[in-house]
Amino acid sequence: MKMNVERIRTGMKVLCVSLVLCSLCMCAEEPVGRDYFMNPELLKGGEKPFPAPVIAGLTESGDYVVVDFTGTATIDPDTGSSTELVYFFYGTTENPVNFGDPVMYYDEYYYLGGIAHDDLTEQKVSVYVGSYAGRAYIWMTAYDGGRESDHSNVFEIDLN
Amino acid sequence: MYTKILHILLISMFIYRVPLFAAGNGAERFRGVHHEGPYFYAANSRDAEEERRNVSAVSAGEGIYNLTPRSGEQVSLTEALVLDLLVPGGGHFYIDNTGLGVTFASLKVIGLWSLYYCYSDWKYRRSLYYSARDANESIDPDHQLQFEDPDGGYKTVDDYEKDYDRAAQRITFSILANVLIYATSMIFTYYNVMRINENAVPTFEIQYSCANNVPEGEALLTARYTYRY
Repeated sequence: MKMNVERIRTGMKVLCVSLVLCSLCMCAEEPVGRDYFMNPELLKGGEKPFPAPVIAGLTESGDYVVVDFTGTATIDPDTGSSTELVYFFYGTTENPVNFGDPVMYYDEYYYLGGIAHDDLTEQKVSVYVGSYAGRAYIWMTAYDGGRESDHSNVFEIDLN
Repeated sequence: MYTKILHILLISMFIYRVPLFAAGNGAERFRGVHHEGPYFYAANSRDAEEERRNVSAVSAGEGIYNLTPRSGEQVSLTEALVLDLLVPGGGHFYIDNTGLGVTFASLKVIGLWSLYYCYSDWKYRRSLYYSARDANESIDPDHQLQFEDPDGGYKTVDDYEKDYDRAAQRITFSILANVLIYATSMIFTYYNVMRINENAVPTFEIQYSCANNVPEGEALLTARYTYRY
C-alpha cells in the first residue's frame, strides 16, 4: 500500500508539472475591457463619410432609373477627399419610413448596386430596376471601405 | 472403470492427505497452487515479492493440510473509486495497474486542461463581444461597424457573437468529454477491483473429469484442485 501511495504522489507531481507546462504552452487570452473597442484605431474605416449624399432627382429610363445626386459633397474625413468613396444605391417598393430599425436602410436586401467615385463622369448613375411598375423608393449612401455614411434622402418615383 | 480410478485417487489423497495432482488456477495475476513449491498470493507483484521474503516455503511433502486458507489482499472499492475521482489515474495506480493509470491520467490531464482552456477562451470571446456591442451602440447604432479582431481581420458585432456562441459550445463538449473519460475510468476501476476481490476469496476446490471421446483401450482422467490461501 505504501508503494501505491508513493505512486499516487508521483502521479500528482506529474500532473502538476503537466498543468504548468500546458499553461505555459497554451494560454488563452485575457479578457478585454468593456471599452476595448472604443479605440478609434480598432474601428475599420475610422470616421464615417460625411455629410450624407443628397439625391437631387430620379428619372425613369426603360428598365433603369437615373439617379441624379448632383450637389453631393460627401468626403471621407480620414483622407479629406471623396476619391476613394464608393456610392451604394438602395431601393424598395415599400415606404422605408415603416422600417422599424434604422439599420434596415443599409441592409443588403435592398441593395441595388454601387459605383466608385473615380468611375463617375458626372454625378448621375443609371440603376437597374427591371420591369417593375409602381411606386419605388430610392436612397443612397457613401462608403469609404470601412464605414458607410448616413443614408441620403429617400426619393419616390412612380415607374410605368 | 474411470470412476474406480478416480475414487482411488481421491480416497488416497484424503487418507494420506498428500496432493497427488495439482495445477495452477489459471489466473495470470495470481499464480496457481503448485504442489512442488510455495505459492504466494498477493494483490500485486510487489506484495508477492514481500511475501516471498517473509513466508516460508511450503513444499508438497508438508501437505497443504497444514495451511490455513486465508484471503489475499482485498482492495477497497470505495478507496479505489474515490482515488480515481480525485487523482488522475489514481484508482488504477492504487490497484497497481500502471498501464491504465498512465493512460487515464494523461486523458484526464488533457481533459481538465481543455476544460480550463475552453472556459478561459469563452470568457475572452465574451469580453470581445460585449466590448464590440457596446462600442457599436455608442459610436454608430444605425450601422454594423467592423472592429479589428485581435486574431486578425475585422469582424462585426454579429461575428463576435458567433465566436462567443462557439466558445460556449466548446465548453459543453469539453464537459461531456471529461464526464465520459471519468465515467470510463471509474468503470474500469470498478471491474478491476471486483476481479481482484473475487480472486481474493479463500478457496479449496477439487475437480475431476473423465473424457468420453478417447480411443478405445485408453482412459483419460483429469483431476485438479485449486487451493488459494
